Amino acid sequence: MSTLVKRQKGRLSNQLRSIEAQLGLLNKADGSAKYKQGDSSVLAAVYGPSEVLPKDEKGDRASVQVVFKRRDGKPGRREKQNENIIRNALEPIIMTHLYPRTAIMIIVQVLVDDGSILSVALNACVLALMDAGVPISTVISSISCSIVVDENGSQTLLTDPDLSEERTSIGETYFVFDGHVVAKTGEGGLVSSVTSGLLTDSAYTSCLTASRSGSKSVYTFIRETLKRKPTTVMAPIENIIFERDEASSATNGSDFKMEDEKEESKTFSNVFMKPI
Amino acid sequence: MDKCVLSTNERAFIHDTLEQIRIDGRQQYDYRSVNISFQQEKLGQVQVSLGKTKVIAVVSCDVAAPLGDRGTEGYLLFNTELSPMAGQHYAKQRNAQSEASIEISRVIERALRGSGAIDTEALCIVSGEKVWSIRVDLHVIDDHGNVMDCAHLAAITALLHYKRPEVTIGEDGKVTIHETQDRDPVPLSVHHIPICVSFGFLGDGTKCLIDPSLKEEEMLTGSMTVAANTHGQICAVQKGGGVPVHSSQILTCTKIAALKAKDLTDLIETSIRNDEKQRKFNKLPAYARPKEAPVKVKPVITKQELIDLNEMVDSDDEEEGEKDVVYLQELFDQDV
Repeated sequence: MSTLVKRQKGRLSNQLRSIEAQLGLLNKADGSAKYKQGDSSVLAAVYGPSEVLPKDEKGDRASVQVVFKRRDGKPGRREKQNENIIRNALEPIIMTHLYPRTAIMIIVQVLVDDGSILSVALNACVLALMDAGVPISTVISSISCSIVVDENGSQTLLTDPDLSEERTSIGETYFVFDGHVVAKTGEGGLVSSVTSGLLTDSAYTSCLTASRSGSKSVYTFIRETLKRKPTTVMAPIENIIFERDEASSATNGSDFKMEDEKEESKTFSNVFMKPI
Repeated sequence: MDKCVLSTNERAFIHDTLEQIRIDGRQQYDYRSVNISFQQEKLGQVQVSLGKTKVIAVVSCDVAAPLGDRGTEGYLLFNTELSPMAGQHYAKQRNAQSEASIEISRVIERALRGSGAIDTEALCIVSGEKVWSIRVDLHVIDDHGNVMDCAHLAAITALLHYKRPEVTIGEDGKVTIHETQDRDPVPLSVHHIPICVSFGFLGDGTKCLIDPSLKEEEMLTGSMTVAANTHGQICAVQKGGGVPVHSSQILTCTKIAALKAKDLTDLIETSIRNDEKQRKFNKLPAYARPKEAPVKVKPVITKQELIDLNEMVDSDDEEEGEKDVVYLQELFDQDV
């Protein structure tokens, strides 16, 4: 599955959508972030550490609560599930032992759902936590991948799928990686993994590898965002193509390169971004 | 986890200086600055900020069966969400729909549906069988006082901005709902534009202010919301309890509401027009982004091309060709 495929809007199958972020837009919340990947956008707010309801109080650590709100407001089981998934990824990285008997509340509001919404939500939450100044031990980031099958039965891996691609996929994966570990060693660092649909072993491993590279780009983006002033709107970063697998690129002959493919894939650091 | 805690000094100061100047520099009957921004990707999604208070309105539609006795009327539903994002004190509420959120939904509903501003008869598809159900979700994301007015502005702007899919009824009575790429969606039928103007009463009910901010709202002893339109008509009034106010004060408030409604209606109409221009300029379609056809994934190289390539490679160089052949075969034979 190392063949590259061109998808809608000219994206390659290993290409992420353009990323935008804006921090500090809410007044009441301690931290807030509006994060956008392509058309999918999510607003996350963080309150805390602050007063906790007695039933949620934990004697030795802060209680992390996540609220996930859909765009059209209808409550559902999937939202409860998403709350759990996000909380399970964030709770380990927040230094909860510093604030016993308090609550850290993270609220996610989906603005537009155009695919990979769980990844987008998690990335927004991480930015919001950092905007709130909640101490976290590492920066985590997430990218989704999905497997699509065409008429011939051959499977293709698509990173950061949009809604139409997600709907036609046979399997979807969502991975969360520890940014520090991945940046240092380039492997390992898996924090969370949620899949749905039909996936073979090799498909899962390919998704994992692709996701890891993608999350590295997101991790770098998050770090760059925090270096700027909190309320600067980041210009969209286009054409993020992460490096392909070393193993697959070695055996690929020039026959399999696409006509307009560039000589070398740009890594995130080569892409020029300017704040607005 | 209280909404806002005020000291005795602050209370006294706000009360005494109200007639000269308010704590944020406004006069008694001044509104805070209103900012309207439209979501690019979706029609009918608007964020309105009234000072620091922010509300997002999302309009969506669905087909439903009408109520028995009202076969020609569609539904217009309002749902207000006071999530903990707006303020931490909202996390304490036991049920999803607190009193405050229900009151906001009800007032907006009376102002927009009750007064006939949004025509529900125009939402009929097949009388007695199918009607449109328009749902407006109001997400309060920042509560800095006067959520009612902000939510109402967001709701009416979103409804004016929204376009529902076009429907045609065939000769055999079959109803076809067209995708946005086939036929342009249709705006809702709006007869007039009511604007909610909220008043707050302090002390014994003699002091009145418009658009209370967070600290002022904490101090109010009574409040009233008047929905008026540019023609000077009163669409809805809500004074739920609170300190008794003289009737002459009420009449003054309704007159002020009519004036404020004019300004705010101009603002809404200008912002919608600007958004239309922006969409045309950005070459965004004038309707919602069309739903793209499912992805037809085509691999870079088809199986037939691969076989041809194998043959070609075979003939070139035996050793190298073999290695390539093994790899390529693996690619297609593996049980992925």
